[in-house]
Amino acid sequence: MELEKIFLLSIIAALIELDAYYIGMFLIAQPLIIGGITGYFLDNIYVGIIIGSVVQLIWINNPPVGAFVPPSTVTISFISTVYSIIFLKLLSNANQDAIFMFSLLIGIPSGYFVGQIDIWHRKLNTKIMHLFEDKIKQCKLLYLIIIQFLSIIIKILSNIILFLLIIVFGISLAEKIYLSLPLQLIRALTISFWIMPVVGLAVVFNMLYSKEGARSHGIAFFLSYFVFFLTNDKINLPFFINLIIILGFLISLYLVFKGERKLNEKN
Amino acid sequence: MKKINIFTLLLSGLKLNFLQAAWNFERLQNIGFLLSIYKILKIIYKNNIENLKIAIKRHLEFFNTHIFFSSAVLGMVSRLEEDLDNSDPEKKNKEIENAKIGVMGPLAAIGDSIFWSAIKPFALLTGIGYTYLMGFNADSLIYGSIISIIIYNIPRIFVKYYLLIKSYYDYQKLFTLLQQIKFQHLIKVIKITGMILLGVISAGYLYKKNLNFIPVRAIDNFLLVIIFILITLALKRKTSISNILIAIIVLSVFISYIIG
Repeated sequence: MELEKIFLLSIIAALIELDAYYIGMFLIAQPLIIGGITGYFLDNIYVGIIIGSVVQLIWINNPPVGAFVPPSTVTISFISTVYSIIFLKLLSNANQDAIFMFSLLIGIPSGYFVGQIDIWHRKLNTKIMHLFEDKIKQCKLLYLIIIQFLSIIIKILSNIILFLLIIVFGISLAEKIYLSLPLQLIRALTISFWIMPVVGLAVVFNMLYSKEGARSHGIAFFLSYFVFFLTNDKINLPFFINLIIILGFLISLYLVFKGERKLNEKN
Repeated sequence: MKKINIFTLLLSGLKLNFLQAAWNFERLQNIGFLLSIYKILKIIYKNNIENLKIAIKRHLEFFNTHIFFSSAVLGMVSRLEEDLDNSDPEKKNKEIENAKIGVMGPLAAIGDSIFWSAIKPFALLTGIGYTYLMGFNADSLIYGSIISIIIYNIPRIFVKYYLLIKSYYDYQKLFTLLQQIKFQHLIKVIKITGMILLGVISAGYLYKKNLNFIPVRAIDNFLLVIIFILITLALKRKTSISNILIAIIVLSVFISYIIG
């Protein structure tokens, strides 16, 4: 049905995935962005943003430090969004949250598998480097460019092929599996997806934790809940968020430098 | 005399965007770094092909640092290539190698803690903040994506090109400069701001979320807060995300069968 769109989206996802590690790292490779783009092209931006946000929260602390190869969050978001949207079209009476969770269960191993492919790719890069090393030592710039170009092309092609294989051949199989699930398992998927955003919020809390931070978090939580309750959600939200970021930054500056002054006074 | 003009330096800095394109397990970012510095080496050794070959061989060796802070190594090494005497290639090799090894590690540590533990998560969190508070629609996606990219890229560009220029023109003061910047304070400020934003996002999420599973908001919120505390405790005990996800699915199946 939407094979051309899927093909185009696989190319876009593979190009965005390059930004995660290979080129630039401009933060375009966000699960939220690829989820939103996929949702937009498949006519359901809402699903793309929900899936993208959850993936972004859960794998927010996923740095490619040293030789560590993290799972590809772009892949998790892309595959899960495509599966969710197609399933919602195919199974119109199905529970939405259960489908989201079921799609995530396909997207997550796909993301880890892309990470594994990256490891094989890096091993291959070593061999390619040795192949052209002597030429480079003879001041032939072209071979340096060839190594870079080959590496990027291998990354793009391997991702596109994998995405297409997972989507084109996996959908009908996954549909049969989903339809064969007992009611209890479908309900279990709904419960799991209900918890997913909280997992993400806990991950961020744990990552940013400090005593002052936890205190500020609690105060911000109760004050904002009160504001939402009082205004009945009728506030200018972009302005509110920007205000929170600026105010938060100023409060943090104050807390940090107040702490330092106290420490200096003690000494 | 300086042979490298600012444009060549900036162009080489731009090429650092490809630093990790041919990352390999043996010498890590060496191909990317050599590609970035190649033009500079060609200018420095334009009349001496043998020295150029030695320099290329030198930079084909192991290289690994934080991608945005690599510009400081590029600037410093370019200057050393220019300044050090070519009469004793062995000595020059050693000096440049030692200088590179001496700065790569500390720069990687600073870059990892500032960008990967503070700025990047904060920028990503801001993007999510817009979607969770404004709703899952195109407006929130556009706002969230643009603001997160801006928050992340302003310090990225500043750090990268400031260090590139500073380390080329004044590389001896590079470490004094890095010691003067209060990185720990900066990280703390970003993390506390992130926690405040997280508090607002959590409140917005609980206030606005659709009640798909439990129809009473108070009960729904109460249970989610309990789950939040349990997951935080599990994370504090260094439980991995994959294990937490598996545990959630298994428990959900269990609960679902109990409900019947």
